[in-house]
Amino acid sequence: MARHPAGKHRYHHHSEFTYPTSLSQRLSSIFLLPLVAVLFFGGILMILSHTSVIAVNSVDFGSLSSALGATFLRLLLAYGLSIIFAIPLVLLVNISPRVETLLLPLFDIIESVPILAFFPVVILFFIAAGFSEGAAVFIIFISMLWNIVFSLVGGLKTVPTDIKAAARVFGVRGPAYLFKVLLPSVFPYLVTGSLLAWAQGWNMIIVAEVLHTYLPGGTERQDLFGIGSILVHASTSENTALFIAAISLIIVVIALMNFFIWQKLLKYSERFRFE
Amino acid sequence: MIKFDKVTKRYDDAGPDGPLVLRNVSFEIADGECVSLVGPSGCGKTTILRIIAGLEQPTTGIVTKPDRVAMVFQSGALLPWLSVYDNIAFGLRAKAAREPAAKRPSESRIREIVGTYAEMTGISEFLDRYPRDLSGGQRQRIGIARALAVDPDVLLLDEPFSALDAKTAHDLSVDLVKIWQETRKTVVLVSHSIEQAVAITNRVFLIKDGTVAHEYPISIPRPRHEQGEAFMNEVMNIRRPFFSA
Repeated sequence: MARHPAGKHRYHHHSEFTYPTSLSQRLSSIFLLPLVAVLFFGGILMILSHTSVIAVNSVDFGSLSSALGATFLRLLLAYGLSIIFAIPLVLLVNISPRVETLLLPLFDIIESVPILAFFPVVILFFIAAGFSEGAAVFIIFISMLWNIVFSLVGGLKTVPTDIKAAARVFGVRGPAYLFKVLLPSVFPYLVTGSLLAWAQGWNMIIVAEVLHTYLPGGTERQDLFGIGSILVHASTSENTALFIAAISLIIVVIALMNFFIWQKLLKYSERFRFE
Repeated sequence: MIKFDKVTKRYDDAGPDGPLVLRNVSFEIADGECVSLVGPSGCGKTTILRIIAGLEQPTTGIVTKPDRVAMVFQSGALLPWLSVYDNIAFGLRAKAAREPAAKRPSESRIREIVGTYAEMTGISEFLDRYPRDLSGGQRQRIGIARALAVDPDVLLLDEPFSALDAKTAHDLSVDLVKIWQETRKTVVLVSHSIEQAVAITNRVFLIKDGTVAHEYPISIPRPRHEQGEAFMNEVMNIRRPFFSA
């Protein structure tokens, strides 16, 4: 460093820079956080899901809120898992054009297979394992995953070749390249992919929570406690007030999420976009 | 020193029978020289620069070059989510991360280096801003400061003026000469403008059809006046073979 001209600048930078130096620290920032969230919210979900959906017969704000909370946690868990799985899958695609040629059609086929066709098998598998909650989370996770994967793959293609070349010339490789160049580059695509994934997730909640329709001789007691199963329960028992209350609650939450999370993230992600 | 000895280049994706983008290229550039590669589009000048940068490998031939090479890109290649300060520090931090902890520069040393080159390139007042807030010329100055901050032996510039208006390009070229005179780095400039090459560098290589067609030492004293007779003569001297079939 001694070869630099004598520093006689008068500039003072006030920001604090924290650059994690070890790989584990870097990985923790992106993988550990969703993992901790998955475990934490999974625990809360276990407590909430002990309530039976058929116990909710009137417009009771407490029960509806709990049900909405349970559903939201399922979506959150599935989303966390989607992020954890999507990033390695996308990095795998990014290894080389040959790997991409091989994997993308494979992903396309897997995505195109209607997951609901396998849902009864998935339910039986998780019930046999004593973990029916897992069936719902798994089905939402699969429906979210591909939105994020394909958005990120599309995002990687927008990284300018000059940016990749600059990283190489300046010796930014390995984890530093991943965390300082690639992931920030695809951040806008992660946001749009996440938005689509959540929309897909909300679509899936009714199917994912009403398990009994897929089980031979199943009853509503086997349904998971959540706002999706309450919607179906209200509909089949012709409880219009409960149905309207449940659907209104979903609309309010989706609108709030859109306003307070997605719109802000979309705006924030603009700064990561290449011109 | 940079030395190309009978270098050829064929891109892998063109296959073994694909066209050669470089044919038998040989030249030498001494330490501290300021040279330029000019030629029509697709002549191979950027490929030569990319080989010096280590971004491409020659198909045959021998390339001798220093390890510490930095590059300024045509597009700027700045990271839009980083402030000007962090863009300048980008290569420096990567370089620091490769060094043993004991030799790693402190944050205050990085701040000092960034400040020095920001001042040299005239962008000190924009350090807290983001690239999108700045003009094309200012962005190229960030790219130059980022390259100088890693203290390279060779500074490569790939058509840094091509996206700039005439006035901005002129101002930047004047400052680039000052920077070269102050730092005495080896500078290799790729340009499609003969005027810029003559204004900035001391030797011009004319690249045509993937090889060095001519080499012109430029001995006009500095500052070089683009309207001067000697300047115009040099430009015309290069222009004739540049446009000939």
